Amino acid sequence: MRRKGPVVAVLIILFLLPFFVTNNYVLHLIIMACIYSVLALGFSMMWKNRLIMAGQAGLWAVGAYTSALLVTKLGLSFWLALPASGLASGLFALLIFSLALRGGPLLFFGMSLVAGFIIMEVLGSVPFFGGWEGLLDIPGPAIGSFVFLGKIPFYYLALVILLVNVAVFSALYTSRIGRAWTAIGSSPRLAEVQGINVYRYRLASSVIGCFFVGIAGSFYAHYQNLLMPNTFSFQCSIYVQMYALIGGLGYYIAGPILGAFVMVFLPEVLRAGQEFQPIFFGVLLILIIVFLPGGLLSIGERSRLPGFIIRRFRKTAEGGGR
Amino acid sequence: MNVGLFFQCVVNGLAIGGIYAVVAAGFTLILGVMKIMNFGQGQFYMLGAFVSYGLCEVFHLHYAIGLVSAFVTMAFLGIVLQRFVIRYTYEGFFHTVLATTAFATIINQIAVISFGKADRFMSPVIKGRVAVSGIVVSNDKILLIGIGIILFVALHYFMKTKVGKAMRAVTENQETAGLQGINARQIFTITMAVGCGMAGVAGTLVLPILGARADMGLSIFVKILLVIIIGGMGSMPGALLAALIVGLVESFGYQFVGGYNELLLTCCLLPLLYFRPGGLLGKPFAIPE
Repeated sequence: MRRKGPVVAVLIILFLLPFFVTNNYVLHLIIMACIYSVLALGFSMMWKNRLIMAGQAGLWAVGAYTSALLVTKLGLSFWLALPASGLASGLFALLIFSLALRGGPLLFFGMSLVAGFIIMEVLGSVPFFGGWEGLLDIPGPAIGSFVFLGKIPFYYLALVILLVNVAVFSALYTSRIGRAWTAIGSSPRLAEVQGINVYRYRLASSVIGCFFVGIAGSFYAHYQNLLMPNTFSFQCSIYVQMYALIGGLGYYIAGPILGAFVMVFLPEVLRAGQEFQPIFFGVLLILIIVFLPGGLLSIGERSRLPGFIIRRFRKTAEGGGR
Repeated sequence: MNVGLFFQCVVNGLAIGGIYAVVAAGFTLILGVMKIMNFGQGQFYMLGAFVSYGLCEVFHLHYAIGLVSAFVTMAFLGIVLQRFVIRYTYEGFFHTVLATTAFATIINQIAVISFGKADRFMSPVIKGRVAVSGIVVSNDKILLIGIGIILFVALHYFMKTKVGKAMRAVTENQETAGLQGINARQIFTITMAVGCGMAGVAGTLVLPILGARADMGLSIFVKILLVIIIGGMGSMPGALLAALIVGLVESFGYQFVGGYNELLLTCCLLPLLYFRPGGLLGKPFAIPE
């Protein structure tokens, strides 16, 4: 980090935020946006080597249920269950994706999608996991005699998880591993020629991404105090991909976070009916893909949007594309 | 386990597998020729079922009319998707995935709002059933299997016509096909029409047996993905074979295990992927950059 000033300023604002935001619902939305940011960050880490993770909700569920079951059935402390659920998600990812990656990125995409579906089905239909009614009475975290109540302690916990995630990811991106990922992202074949083991680096990115997704799941389980399989549906995975795309796929840290915050707050601002929300999101997503494929953060890079639209259509009319 | 029950399961499995095969054939065609995954495939299947339900059950038209109009309507929607959405998403594979998903979400939500979440059942097309030594098969299931076979034969001969040859040329290499005077974008439009139309036909076929629901699209889509992964990405014979396998596993699973079908299939899938990463009949398939 060369410019420390803005980062410190943002950190101070974030840590003082609960003193300004007194509305519990807004605080809840911020916490959820933090969790979704972690999910979308995991997605964008895999996207960095051009892997499309389509089952983020499933891995999130693995983390959440591991933590909830460890605490409720075995009586483990939350602070032990948090890393354990991350490990569980990571191991699960290792198991599936070590097989799926042998068939290339398209198989990775298909397998992650199928895994997301199947995890939800299994969680819903096996009584041990609480069935479709969900897993209830998950205790909140506690430090000594201080039990987490209300939104403010959870806000700080979510913030710490998000910040640790961002710190680890940006450290990884600037390290040797991150450079290898960038190489794989620009051309897997060329990276292979350079002596990068594409399979291992891709597997590493999926396992690291899923580790943090599992931690987010553990936090979510103890924040909500109940888990429903329907939370971890296909829709949720799609939303995670949307966050990354809307923020900007080329921006691996800022893009997913911006996308998650925008998409969590947008429906609240619009107050659209629950029924029409998917239609609205679908239309918005198509418009963004067609007119702004680089995401919101790419607005500043390109010229004004109208000219961009005209150029885009001219380019399409001249040929190319599908 | 007696022989009668065994063959009963086989026939049921072939019927379910036939449905999967028809939807998966359309999906594979689009994946092979256009190198995109059409996430709307399941929703086109659902909508096809509702179109023919409306025509056959509400307006009391003949089933064949329902079949044809489901194909035509879904082919039209496929062309709309191709012309107005996919054509402008030339950024890459991932953008088309999300764009088709968004389209599917819109269709699905409109269907949920307008049809509700209730099951719609249709009276049998050909009444009665065939009973041979303890195996009872309704005539509709035989009709389904028959039309499925006819569709596959038709698709086989369609791929030998001039348009079909052009499709295969585009599958191999889009640029070289362009040099031969093949308009790739026209071929893409035809591919979308045929692929989505087949999903509509499958919806009509399943209507007399399982009925129509607004959320049937998503549940079949999972099966289609499993079929595609097992059979091999972009391989048509692989899709057919894998669809029948999935159908049989499902039918025997309901009979002997009771639920957990997807889990059962995945447990079979993981060792398969270890030994054949490209699926049963496919070769490892690359996403175009």
